[in-house]
Amino acid sequence: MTSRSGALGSGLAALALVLTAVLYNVLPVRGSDHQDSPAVVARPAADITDVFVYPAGDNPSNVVLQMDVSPLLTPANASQAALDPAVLYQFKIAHGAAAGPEDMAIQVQAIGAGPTQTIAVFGPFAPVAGTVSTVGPLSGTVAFNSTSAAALANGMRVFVGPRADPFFFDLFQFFSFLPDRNYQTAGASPKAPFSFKFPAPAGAFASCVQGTPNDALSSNSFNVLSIVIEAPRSLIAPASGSQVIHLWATTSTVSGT
Amino acid sequence: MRQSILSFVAVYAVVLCTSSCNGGSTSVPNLNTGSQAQFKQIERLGRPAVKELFQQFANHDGTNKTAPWQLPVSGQTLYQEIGSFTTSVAGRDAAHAATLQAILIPDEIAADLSKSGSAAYLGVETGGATGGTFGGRGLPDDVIDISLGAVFGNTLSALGLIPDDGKESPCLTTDNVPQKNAQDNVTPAVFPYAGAPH
Repeated sequence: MTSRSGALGSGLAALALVLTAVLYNVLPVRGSDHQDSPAVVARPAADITDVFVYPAGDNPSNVVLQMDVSPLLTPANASQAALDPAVLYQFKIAHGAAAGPEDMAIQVQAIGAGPTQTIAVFGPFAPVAGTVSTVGPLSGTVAFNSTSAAALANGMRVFVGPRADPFFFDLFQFFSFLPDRNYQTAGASPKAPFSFKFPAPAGAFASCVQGTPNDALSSNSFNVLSIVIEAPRSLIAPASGSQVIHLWATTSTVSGT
Repeated sequence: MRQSILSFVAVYAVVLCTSSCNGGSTSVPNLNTGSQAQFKQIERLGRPAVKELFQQFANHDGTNKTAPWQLPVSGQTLYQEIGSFTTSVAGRDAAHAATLQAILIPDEIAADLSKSGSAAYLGVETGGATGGTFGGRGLPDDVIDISLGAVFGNTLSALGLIPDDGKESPCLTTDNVPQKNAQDNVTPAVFPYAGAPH
């Protein structure tokens, strides 16, 4: 019985791996920025799905920067997922009324592979603006997937680990009329009917497609890896400068692939 | 080889750090500082649903490897495709396309840290019309419906930015998927806010 259970367990594990591979490669879910190019499809932990910046719910003096990567993590593989240690993850910030080149960066890099990895955090510091980056000054480290890590000396709280994908969108209906945006049908022309699904279309929506909208991410229980940095507002936007920031996130590798 | 050296140095720094400073000290010898390893950008993301809606998939890789502020902005492929998608696929007039280009490029999320209140996507650009002047992007923000309204609906004319061109596509102004914090385990008042995995 023991050996049979073991065999069954191994079989299920193998099946889970296959299903994971199938889900990632065959079930395209490129929403806000999921599965955005061949390069990141090949390196999913460098695939940024969403970027957020919002006031901290537990302290209005703080602001939260969040970058989500590694789309389509099923509940089974979310527990095994981790950042790619070959990737440099960066929040880039420009200060001032107008958007422009970054004058501040915060970087994250994983040391080691798998969920036991350590997360090193660099900055904020003033980087050389552009698409080629070097690593900035180390601000501290936290354990991967720890929600209770002590704040770094500069006041930043850092979490990196699996989270439920917070993005919500009827992706498959979107792909039905813009199939080019699905990486597996890239190049296809827009296709009628040009409509999302409406449960009871009426009035101005009378001609729309009738159906039940579906949040493909939640309904499939997909997860991501979230990089969450909560920082004092004064650290991100010092009083001496503009309080308006312009934020984006990048991933980079030494090889450029 | 550079990567190997960098990795070794980084690991060494963490080993030095682990026993004395895990969780925050900056007293650790910072062996990464001054590293000349060159990391080349392979992906970038700012505003949600900009590349994904406006840009052909074949051009995403090129955009991902450029800076969002690359000058001249009118030379950016993404800038040009916002224009062409808006006038051809979405069927809007030229003023509508130009307004979207001006709002969305450079592709960076604006937030005003001097403002209180909740995040509200495009709040800085619209003077708070989307829900607050902090702007940024919060976990509950329905960025899809905000974006769809701006491209296919009457959001821009309702804000007084341009005259209504009468070319709305009602069936594309919402995906009818509401945000549900509970569904994604979001904890708005408890770090790390993004919800525990499914």
